[in-house]
Amino acid sequence: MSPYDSLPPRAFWRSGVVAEVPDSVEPLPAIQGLYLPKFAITKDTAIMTAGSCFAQHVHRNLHERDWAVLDFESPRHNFRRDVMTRFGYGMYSARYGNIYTARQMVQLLHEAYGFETPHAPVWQRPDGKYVDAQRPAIEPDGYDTPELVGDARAHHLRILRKTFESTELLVFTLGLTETWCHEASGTVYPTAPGVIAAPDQPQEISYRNDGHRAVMADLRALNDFGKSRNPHFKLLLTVSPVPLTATASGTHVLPATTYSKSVLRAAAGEFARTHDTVDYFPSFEVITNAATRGRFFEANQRSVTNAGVKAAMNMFFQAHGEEVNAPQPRTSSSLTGGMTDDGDNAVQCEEVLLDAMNRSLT
Amino acid sequence: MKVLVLGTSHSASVRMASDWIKRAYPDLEVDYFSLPGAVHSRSLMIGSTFGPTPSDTYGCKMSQQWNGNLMIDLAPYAQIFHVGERFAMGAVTRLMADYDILEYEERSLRPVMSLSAARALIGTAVYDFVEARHDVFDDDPRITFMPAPYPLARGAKRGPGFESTMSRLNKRHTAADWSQIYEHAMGTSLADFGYRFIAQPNHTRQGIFATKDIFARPKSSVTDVGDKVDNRHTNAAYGQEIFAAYAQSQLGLAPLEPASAPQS
Repeated sequence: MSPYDSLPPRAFWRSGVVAEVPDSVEPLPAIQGLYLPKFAITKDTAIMTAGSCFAQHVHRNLHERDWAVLDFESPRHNFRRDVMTRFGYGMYSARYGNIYTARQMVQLLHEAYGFETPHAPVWQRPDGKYVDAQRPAIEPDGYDTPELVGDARAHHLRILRKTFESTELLVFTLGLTETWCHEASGTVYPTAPGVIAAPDQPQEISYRNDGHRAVMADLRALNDFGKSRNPHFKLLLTVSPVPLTATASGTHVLPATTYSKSVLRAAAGEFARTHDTVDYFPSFEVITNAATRGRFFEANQRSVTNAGVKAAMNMFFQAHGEEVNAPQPRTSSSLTGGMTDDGDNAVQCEEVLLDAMNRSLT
Repeated sequence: MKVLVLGTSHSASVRMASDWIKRAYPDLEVDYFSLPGAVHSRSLMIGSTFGPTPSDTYGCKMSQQWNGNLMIDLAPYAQIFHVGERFAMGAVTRLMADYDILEYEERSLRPVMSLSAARALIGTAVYDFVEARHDVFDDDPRITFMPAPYPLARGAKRGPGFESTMSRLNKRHTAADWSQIYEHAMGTSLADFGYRFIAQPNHTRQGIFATKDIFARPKSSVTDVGDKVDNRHTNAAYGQEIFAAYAQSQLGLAPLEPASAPQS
């Protein structure tokens, strides 16, 4: 009798993976038993989303299924999605853009509550326009003055505080270990100087590649901060399956990606394993497992296909009791490029024309 | 010259002014074709005729009842005055009521949005709306659009027919700036598709985003109809004013008889 004899099929590669993802089946099914939630998440759980770009899919799917995903900063009507996204609206629970590292997330929350002031908050683009160094892509036209950057950020942080105070569950997607840092202050930035814009003293910003210990410390800081604001705060961690676009590590981008994802995955797993109110959602495994043979990636071998997103999110919804094939309650007119408009009262419309008809006939 | 007044229920005000239009513009032969907004928006062109599709039972019934015909042939008309489209008004006005503009001085507890983002969101919303109309009417330089009037000023009063968004919007110091952005979006989007645009005449407005109460439909207030108050639709006097604005700006014609005083 070995310790493996009594294990369920999901514990074995052949039955848990190979048999679950048949070679010829399209669309690829989600692997059963991959996600066994530690705690319940319901449609009414106030969810905040943040993280690397894969988190956008999480946010959008929750929103479209009318889950209580928070967003106090985006227009409530469904404006065109591509325009919303261009300006950072509707991507996450506030307009902070992509947050690639746990360090950046902690720094953002600390800044919102006045515990930390990031160094060099305003960077300048080659065209002379200014950007918010912590979210340089959310205003594609840039700002005319540094003061406008500060004003916009102050308002954003106010909304962020309101969002975080309302949050019961933070879904955070870890994306990178590589980051850009002002060593003296410890401020991290989502982009390197020169990619979009640069600070006055770009030489002060240097490359950093975090290890397991640093990521664990940041996750602890994030969780502790959440608990300090709300004792019932819960954290759901995911790791973005999207490979690095580029690495500044000096190594090939492939091992750099493997390193980054391995560190993040190990840290997320260990942190979730040791905290009752922290869970890990294995979207990374759904997308990247060998049995999918890369079919959940687009032709660029980097972007996740819609089918991949659907498989991951269906796994989430199924695990939390949502019927995944049910019609989605929120019909997003922005998906079709149209606009909803409550229009005029139909009965009144009828009456007014009948009035007009009577008038013109008499 | 044959002119068609085409549109939603808001075109009824022009139809109500038909007797005056006949006297004021004797050289014009004006016809009318109106459909409820929802029916109008799903109606189609078949050849040169416009109207509800045969499968639209309700739309056909309404068209017959309102127009005496199921469809209208647009071919004989030299000009078309299209009245009452909303141009994403609900979404756009809510956006304008809910945000401060970063570059403007006015600050409330609302979130801020850059001018660039506001212009892009409003511009594309209006553009998409116009594009959808172009899908129906195709290229037709005869058409001049005037949007639905803003709700009546009395709609700012809480109670039946309360126009919450417009009320909030009208109180804003930046209302004129917002109006400029919205109406610029309507004008440029329509021009992109070869149509012409006239904004609601300023003299019919109370402030920026409201219509003067003197243009209310008769017997449509709370005291007359209780909960069924109508703060959206307008009377024949409004119809006279907008037709006069159309005739002056698009046809170069002044009325031979002054518009009659509104009766509310």
